[in-house]
Amino acid sequence: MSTDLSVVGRRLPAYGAVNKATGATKYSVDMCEPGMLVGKLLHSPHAHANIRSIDKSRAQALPGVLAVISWEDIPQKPFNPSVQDWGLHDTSNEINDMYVISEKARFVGDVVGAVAAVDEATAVEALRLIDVEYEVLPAVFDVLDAMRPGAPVVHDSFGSNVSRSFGFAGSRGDVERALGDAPVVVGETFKTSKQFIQALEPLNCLAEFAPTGELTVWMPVQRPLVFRKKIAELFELPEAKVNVICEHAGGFFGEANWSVAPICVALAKQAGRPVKLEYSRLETGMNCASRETYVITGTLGVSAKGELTAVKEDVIVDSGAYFNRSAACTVVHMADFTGLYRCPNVSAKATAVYTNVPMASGFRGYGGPPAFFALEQLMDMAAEKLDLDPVELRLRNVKRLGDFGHAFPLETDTHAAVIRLGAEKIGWEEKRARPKVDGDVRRGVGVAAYYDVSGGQPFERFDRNLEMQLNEDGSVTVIINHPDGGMNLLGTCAQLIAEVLGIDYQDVHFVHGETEGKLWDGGMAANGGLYTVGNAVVRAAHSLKAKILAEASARLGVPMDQLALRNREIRLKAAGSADFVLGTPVLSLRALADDAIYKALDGSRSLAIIEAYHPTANPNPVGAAFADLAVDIGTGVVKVEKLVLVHDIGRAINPATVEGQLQGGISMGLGYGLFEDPAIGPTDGVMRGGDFNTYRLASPLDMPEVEVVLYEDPAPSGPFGGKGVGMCGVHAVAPAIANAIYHAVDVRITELPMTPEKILEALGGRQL
Amino acid sequence: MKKQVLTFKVNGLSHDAIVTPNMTLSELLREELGLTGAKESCGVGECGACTVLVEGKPVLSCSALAIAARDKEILTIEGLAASVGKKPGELHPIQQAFVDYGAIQCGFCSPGMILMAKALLDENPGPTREEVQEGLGGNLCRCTGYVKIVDAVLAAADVLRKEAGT
Amino acid sequence: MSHMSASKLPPFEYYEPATVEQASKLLDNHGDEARVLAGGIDLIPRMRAGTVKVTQVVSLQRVNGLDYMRRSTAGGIDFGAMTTLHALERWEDLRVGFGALYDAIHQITSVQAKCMGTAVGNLCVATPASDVAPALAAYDAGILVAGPKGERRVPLPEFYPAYGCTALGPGEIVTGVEVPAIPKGHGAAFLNLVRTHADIAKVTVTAAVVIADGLCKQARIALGAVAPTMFSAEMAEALLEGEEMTHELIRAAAAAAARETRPIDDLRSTAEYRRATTEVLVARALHKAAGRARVSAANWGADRGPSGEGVTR
Ligand SMILES: Cc1cc2nc3c(=O)[nH]c(=O)nc-3n(C[C@H](O)[C@H](O)[C@H](O)COP(=O)(O)OP(=O)(O)OC[C@H]3O[C@@H](n4cnc5c(N)ncnc54)[C@H](O)[C@@H]3O)c2cc1C
Ligand code: FES
Ligand code: FES
Repeated sequence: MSTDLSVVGRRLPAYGAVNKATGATKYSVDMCEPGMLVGKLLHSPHAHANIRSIDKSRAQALPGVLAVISWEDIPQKPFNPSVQDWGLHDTSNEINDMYVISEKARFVGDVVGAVAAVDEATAVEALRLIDVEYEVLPAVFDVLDAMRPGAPVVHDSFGSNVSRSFGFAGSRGDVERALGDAPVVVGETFKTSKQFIQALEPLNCLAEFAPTGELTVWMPVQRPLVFRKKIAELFELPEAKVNVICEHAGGFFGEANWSVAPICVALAKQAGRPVKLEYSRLETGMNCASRETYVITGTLGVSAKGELTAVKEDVIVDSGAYFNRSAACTVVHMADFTGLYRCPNVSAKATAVYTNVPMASGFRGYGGPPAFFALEQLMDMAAEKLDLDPVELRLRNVKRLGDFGHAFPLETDTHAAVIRLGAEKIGWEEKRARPKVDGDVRRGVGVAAYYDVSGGQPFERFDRNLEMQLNEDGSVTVIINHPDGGMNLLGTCAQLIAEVLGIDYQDVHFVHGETEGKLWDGGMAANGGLYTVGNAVVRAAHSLKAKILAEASARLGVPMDQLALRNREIRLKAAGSADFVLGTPVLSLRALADDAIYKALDGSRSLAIIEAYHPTANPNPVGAAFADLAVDIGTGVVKVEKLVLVHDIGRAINPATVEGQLQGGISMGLGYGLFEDPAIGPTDGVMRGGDFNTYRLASPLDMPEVEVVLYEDPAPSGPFGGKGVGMCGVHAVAPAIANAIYHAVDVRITELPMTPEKILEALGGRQL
Repeated sequence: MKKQVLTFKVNGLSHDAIVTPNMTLSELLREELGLTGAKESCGVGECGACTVLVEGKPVLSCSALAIAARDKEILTIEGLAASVGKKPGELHPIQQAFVDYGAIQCGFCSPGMILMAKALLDENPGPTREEVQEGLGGNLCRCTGYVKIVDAVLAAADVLRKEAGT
Repeated sequence: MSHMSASKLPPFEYYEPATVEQASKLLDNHGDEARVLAGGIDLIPRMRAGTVKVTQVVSLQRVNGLDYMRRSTAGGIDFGAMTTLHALERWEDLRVGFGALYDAIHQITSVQAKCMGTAVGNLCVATPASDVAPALAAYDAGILVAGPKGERRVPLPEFYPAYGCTALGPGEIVTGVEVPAIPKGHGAAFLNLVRTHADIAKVTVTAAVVIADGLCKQARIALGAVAPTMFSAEMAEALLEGEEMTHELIRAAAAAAARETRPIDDLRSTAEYRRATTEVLVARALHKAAGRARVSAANWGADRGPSGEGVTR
């Protein structure tokens, strides 16, 4: 690794950390406006019901109530929170099937009305006074039941619950023939679970109309400019009259349900006063978006040499009550399932199905965690049949330089080295060979690999536009619309910019928290923050540097190529040397900026640039997780002793940030694998696991020993070689645990979460 | 419902507030005093985000009545640094360690975590890694996986012990 | 679905009596409309969620004399209604002498909940899933009750007549808990199963035995979360008493205890799993308890304390 970097690669404090540590940071849930009303939601108690009538008159008559809305008061424009019909992505498989509030309730908790009142007690009372007459319909909660003829139909317009069937565009070769020819074929059906985002900041929104009609919305949102356009379309407002404010949010793990804000805006519009809508934890749990639940039937064909010859997947997607991201997530899912390894013959197809449960959406990892849960267990099944070590089978099949990732050729050849390093860190050889029996427990160790993208290109555009300016004090301000949700994207960008411009990272400031005055930016998604925003700011910094040097060159009468930027100074290259560091300082950046503004006789000028960046590559971060655990054969309880995760980051701009992303992802992967469960009643559709009493997140005591190892081999197209990380910690934890359970007790758990109940049942009852 | 004038201390300053019995301590702090450092995430005692110290003991302000704070001394995250004599702009060693060790991501859990860590270190200045995990057992974080939080608390413990000369 | 959106507390009147008599009188006057507030860590969230509806709240926080911990003259331990779980957890006498009770308290994950919550409040919630109630029951704890008709002592299992109910009559308050001294040859063990550390137990077991002359003189098997109330597995206890605690007998007793359960399916687990693992946990707890009892018998009188339990974690 080159050592001539001074800011890139350092463990520097995260952007905004000091304000967060002192309680000074304001989240939208902390905001209040004078005259603000309290918004509250009315939820359907039925899983499936038509609203025959809704009488709001008693609620409206209650003193202190300023707005009461139901579906009739909402623009009746079908929409989909995750679909943009503006050319950002291919929408041919998408469905706009939601209204902000609809006249049919499709899951227990679906919003049927909302009120705004002077205080909470009045608002709650007003909810009670809304008289809804429901026509209760039969409902369906299981995705396979929903596909049967005669099942209750969730969306009448489709005639059945199957909304879309689509093949994977990357299918190739002849899978059936390859499976017929393969000496080893393994197949299994897996069922994944509905994991909910459950960020710590509850869903909330504050909406206010100015007397002149401008709308301001405060809310946690990852893609504010995309959201602004959607809200503008929905309420028929010009985009420039809508300002979406989100400086900091209490956790970004995927697009939370965007109907929070439209409801709040509709209330504010009717009330003529600012309205704050704060979801309870249970409401948050139900609406914060969940991972798609998949029924995955996977088949692998493997040659006698242990090379994959066929990968086949048939996946049923449980969309829940609305389609949302079912298509996009599943396309990525199929690409993950069929694309992790080299294989000449692959095919996949998906069927999306509606059920009467809360809708799914994009959640950290996207379609990846379900894909790797299934694929990586199949790989272990194949290894067993071949009598090969699971690590060895993976090494024989990882992609190499020249192979394609999701859409672009791999930029570096790292996966084999990453897997080997992980095996070494966990002590693979010894742990595979150690005695399994240890009193009441059986010990096992397992591996699972993963790969991911660094942005949506070429499938979905998250292009970047930003402004960068040299301030009169010699510092730099970047104007870009990126809320901070904890990934330290801005801090990492500050390090990149500081490196290019030879300034301190603390001299990089951001104006980022509201859409007002910002150039268009696609927002945060698809594991692509650092890669795409990072590349954009690096380019911008180079342009600004050129501008600064041109200015300096004119001032000093020295050719540009004789000048460099170091330590907030313009330096003269030492004669006959390429070394700028030792050059003579001739002008401080501050003096240059200051002079350009105050002393330039031909007119003051700020040194600034506008950068428009459209990413045209997409390096694949790769990695592997290893789990060492013990299964109690009397109780089925799994105790994960240690998790090792090796991630190929390309280059860690801030290693602490990268590790933190992976460690957090691991805690989510652990919950996904073992215990996070919304406990939706199989016969009534009631989500019993919604608040923190019932939907359990990992606490500090639930964490095993975690060792995260960063593998660095710079990706040529990345900013200083960096690539994606945010989604990656979660991918391979559950399958590594599943494989370790199998190693320990010889049972395969194919359904998530892998609870002690399921393990004990698979063991055929308690074994003591 | 009887209203009462309540006298109590927050971050070293005496306050009077008119409260009704059904006001929680977190409402008093966040809505009446504008001290929004204490967060509400679950409202039922399960996440620790709303932790403040009352008479030095960690209290879940979402589940405590404001009225019960009569004549009590409350410390919130906003007053932590000053409570150990730090000047404005300076951080308490625990806050500093959270910043330095990358223990803060979205930051929504951080005020509660930091105050809980203070309560822990006040009682046990030299905790083991496991004791720190136990001490923070009632605080949830969705972002960090806790590794760096525990690192930070252990590092802060070292600093505090050195400062105390023990 | 009103429970989803509730978040502020409904209105109520609030009292801070200074004596037990005053508190009891307030409760008696207001009947079902009134509730005692101890640490409030259970009551306040329930009132916010609307699952407990009362208009009068009687705080014990400023009642004199309810926050105490002391060794009784007979060698047991006594503590008051306002003694927090945290205080008990840090009490050396409890930790050394009553290790299974310590374990039951120590494993409660939230330190804040232990600093606010009282042990008596935990008992008075009357959830069948309390870890503390079976632990106290296995030590033959008695609940001290005061009310309009005077004072009485209720043995712990009798404190729970039915699901979610306590034996408290109108105006009655729990003032404290007495745990008797433990005899020579006593050993106890606590075990539970949870989804995550902070979750409510799926199954919670405390077993305690007294072994003398190689025979089990007394057995206590207290179970939680596997029936509408916490209960003692009396058939299993009877199997053990007077017998040598062999492997086979422990197996039989554990099987008997499992048969005494009346578990349900809920979001945390299934009835089948609860019954099956009750058997496993009871067997393990009995083995552990018997081992400790033998140590106690051997070391009785030595400085290491009255029981062989010591610190288990
Ligand atoms: C995060 C968390 C984790 C927990 N984990 C566990 C666990 O692992 N295991 C476990 O067993 N418990 C656990 N608990 C439960 C906890 O121990 C109890 O909620 C707490 O001890 C209740 O005590 P309190 O003083 O706050 O009671 P309060 O909330 O004040 O009262 C609870 C109930 O008891 C009544 N009451 C209280 N005191 C008296 C009295 N003296 N006389 C008559 N009635 C009275 C009240 O009227 C009320 O109905 C947990 C709680 C929380 C919040
Ligand atoms: S908000 Fe108080 S514990 Fe979660
Ligand atoms: S840092 Fe986001 S919840 Fe802890």
